[in-house]
Amino acid sequence: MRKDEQQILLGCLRNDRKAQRALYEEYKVQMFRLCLRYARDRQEAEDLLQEGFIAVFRDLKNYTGAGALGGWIRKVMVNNALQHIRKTKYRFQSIDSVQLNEYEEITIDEEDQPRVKELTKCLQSLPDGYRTVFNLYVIEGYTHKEIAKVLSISESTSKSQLFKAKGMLRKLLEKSMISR
Amino acid sequence: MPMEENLQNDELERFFKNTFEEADQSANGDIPSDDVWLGIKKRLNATSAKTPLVVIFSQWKSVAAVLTILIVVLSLWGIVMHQSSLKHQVTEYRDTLDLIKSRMDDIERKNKEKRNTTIYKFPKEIYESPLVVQERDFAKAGKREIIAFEPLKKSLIEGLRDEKDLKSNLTERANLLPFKAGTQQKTEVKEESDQEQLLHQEKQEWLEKRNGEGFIPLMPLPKLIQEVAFQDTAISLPEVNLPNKKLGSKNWSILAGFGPQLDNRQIEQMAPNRGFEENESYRGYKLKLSIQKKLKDRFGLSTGISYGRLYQASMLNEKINFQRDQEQEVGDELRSTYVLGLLTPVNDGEIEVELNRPRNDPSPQNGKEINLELGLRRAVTYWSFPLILGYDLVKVDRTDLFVQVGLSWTFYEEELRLERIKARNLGAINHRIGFRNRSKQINNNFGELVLGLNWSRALDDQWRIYIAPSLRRALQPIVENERVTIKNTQLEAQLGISYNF
Repeated sequence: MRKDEQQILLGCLRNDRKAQRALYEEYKVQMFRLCLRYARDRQEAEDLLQEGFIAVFRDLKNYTGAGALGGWIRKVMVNNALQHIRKTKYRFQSIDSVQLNEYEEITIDEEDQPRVKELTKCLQSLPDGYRTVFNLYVIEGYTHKEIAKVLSISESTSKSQLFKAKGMLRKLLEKSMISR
Repeated sequence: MPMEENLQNDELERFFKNTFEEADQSANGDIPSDDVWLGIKKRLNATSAKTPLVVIFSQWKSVAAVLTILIVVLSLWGIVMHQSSLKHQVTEYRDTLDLIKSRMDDIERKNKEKRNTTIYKFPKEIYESPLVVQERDFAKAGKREIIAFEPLKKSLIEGLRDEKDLKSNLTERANLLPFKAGTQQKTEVKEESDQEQLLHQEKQEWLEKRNGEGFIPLMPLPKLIQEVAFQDTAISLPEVNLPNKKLGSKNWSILAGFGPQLDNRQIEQMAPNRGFEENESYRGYKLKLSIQKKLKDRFGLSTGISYGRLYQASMLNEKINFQRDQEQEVGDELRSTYVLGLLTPVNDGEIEVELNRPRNDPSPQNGKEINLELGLRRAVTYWSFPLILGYDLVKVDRTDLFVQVGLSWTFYEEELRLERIKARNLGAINHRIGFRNRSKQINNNFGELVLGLNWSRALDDQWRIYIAPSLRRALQPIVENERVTIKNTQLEAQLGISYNF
């Protein structure tokens, strides 16, 4: 752990606002990117980011030092997002009932990680259940068993949601390529 | 599913995963609006206002300093109050002594007068008995002390049938005398014997006066010493609280310790005309073995056994009329203690049940004692409050209640402070101050200061060593009333090693 990061952590444990701000500034971009993947839109992502950092400051005393701090914060953020999903009772729709959301065309900005923005937009276009399962399985590396446990769904639902999510993403990406 | 589609799926997954992982390495990206931080700040401020304790805990150094000062001041205040109480008692005691001495002088004077007036009233036959001849010879030497036997003889003469009966009785009595008459030295002994009779009479009066008031009588002193000494012998194990989350990610922990024990006790027992002062010193060692099983992150079960042997060496000073007359060494006495405990650690709470079974214990409790300790320990980052409530049950008819509160700190190297789960702490210090109420036989409150230094160091992920010296000092005599004072100091140390797996 870096010396300056240690100082920031000690400050956060003392509830020092400056240290908390420093920690927020250090990780806000990375964590906001994560929140954008789980949220329907930017506004919801900002809400997730805010709730997530409050949870981080609240639970920081439980950080044991085992593993990178960034990894720990990321875990808190994901857990917070899952909690939000459970609270808002996202529907995990059956395959037949799903319709593609209208895909908003993305303006490509070469200097601002266009691919990431584009893919994030694709994810946000997915139905809530598909998006969540795809994020957990593909990005976070959860197994279907773990996903079933955290989202209180069956393993087969998780598998089918992932399957459909990938199918929809393929179509969205193709559409995006054509529109360019 | 067609193979082509599978491959496409895998590629799609890799494409998304790699893209986002690469993006995470970069500091660039979408920036959240400033409202997010403002919202966080607002919420944090609201949380702090709702829970002032968090603020207090964040300023732990100030709180710890204030509490330490408070404890020290209270301790000193208790000692000062106790000293003034002692002075008052000593003054009262001296007044009582003066009163007793003046009363004894009166008795002595009256007896002398009685001797001078009644000696020549005996019938002639008595002087011709064997005993009387000796006494008469003694009288010829000009020693008036012979008169000391006059009350005895009076009682003998009354009711006797004939001279033979008289001689028989007198001879029998003469054999019981603690001296042989006829020398100057024997005269002095006889004088002391008279004095002792008076002292004995005074003592009996004192005992009768005290009888029924629930006061500890003087005479069964050895029994009392054993009883009281026992109460504070078989209890203390140094607190070995390894740092918070000591079980960490490990499920089991085995801890073995060994260390010496020292226990010094001064006992003073006073009577109106006699006192005892005993210095008891226990030397011994204690072995401890315990096993802990983690159940949850902060709780687990622990059981262990402790074996100790104590050797007692005592020096007894007996004081008659409060002059040091005799001094003797009582010698060694072996006492073994077995402790079987059940403990739910770790730093957030503990319940401890101890069963002590001393061996070779001469006290009337016959080695039966159960100590129940209910402890609460709240860890706040790296310092904590231990609060101990205890209940000692000794052979059913005596119970003690005690409460202890204190502070504990665990010190870490700066860079390790955030990795405290690894418990590579530099050391820990904990001290407690407590009060104990002894019921029934000895009705007395006392304060006890426990100072313990607990230093431990991880050798690697599994092995760690610790050393834990502790000092227990009664802030005031453990038992104190008008006649009995016991001062106690215990010093223990443990050197141990633990293995986590």
